[in-house]
Amino acid sequence: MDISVEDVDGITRVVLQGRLDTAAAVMMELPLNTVAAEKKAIMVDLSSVSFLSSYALRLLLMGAKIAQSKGGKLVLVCPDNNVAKVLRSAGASDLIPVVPDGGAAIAALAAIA
Amino acid sequence: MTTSAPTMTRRLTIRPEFAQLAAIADWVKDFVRAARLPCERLFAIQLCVEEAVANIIMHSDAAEHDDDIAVELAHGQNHVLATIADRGDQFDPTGSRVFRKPASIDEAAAGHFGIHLMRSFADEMRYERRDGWNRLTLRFGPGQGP
Repeated sequence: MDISVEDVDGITRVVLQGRLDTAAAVMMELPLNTVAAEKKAIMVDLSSVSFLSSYALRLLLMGAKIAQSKGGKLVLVCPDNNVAKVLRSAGASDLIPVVPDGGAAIAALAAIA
Repeated sequence: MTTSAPTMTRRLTIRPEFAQLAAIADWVKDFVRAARLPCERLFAIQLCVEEAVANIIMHSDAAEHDDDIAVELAHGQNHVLATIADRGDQFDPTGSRVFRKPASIDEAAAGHFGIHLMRSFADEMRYERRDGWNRLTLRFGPGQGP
């Protein structure tokens, strides 16, 4: 599991790559929660994530909750694949914006970027 | 649970550690390839086996006692059965409450999605306690999942 974080034009883009299984999600907690607490407009790109466990799902929801509590917003970028099925199945996509690409994420974050 | 005689069966015994999860995923992948199953089935089986094993590691005293977890995959004519067994305290995930989608981000961030995902991605879930073992069996038919 790899993570990269970059700030461009007021938006923080977090790119996750690989299998976001329970072990990986435990390792991603600190970096993702830190971004969620410190940044306002956050795009978490799951386009290169091939697997998402329930614990990873909780990690993303916790990030969105932290961002929201600080007046920020977290948007997920996720094409329509198996990972998106997990998000839908748990109702996460009803609570966090899930968009298909970076352009749509920028539009969703425009108001606070 | 309707079953026919399996045409291929494989077993794996693992330590109750998160570090084993990637190896389990690779093992499931090898099985699905050998059984020539569609990749939609691969994701569903990997997800459900991971959820069952992670649940044991996180919540069962099997992990506290460092007891191994046994996983078996069996491919029948029109289905796959995944059985996950541990010697922890009796726990029947099929008896857990029916999932209700969280109404708020606060509620959702509490988690507890694992059993729901197993119910969603497997076609059937069966539990039995036998000889001191919890045995959770998940059935995957030829369908496409959720």
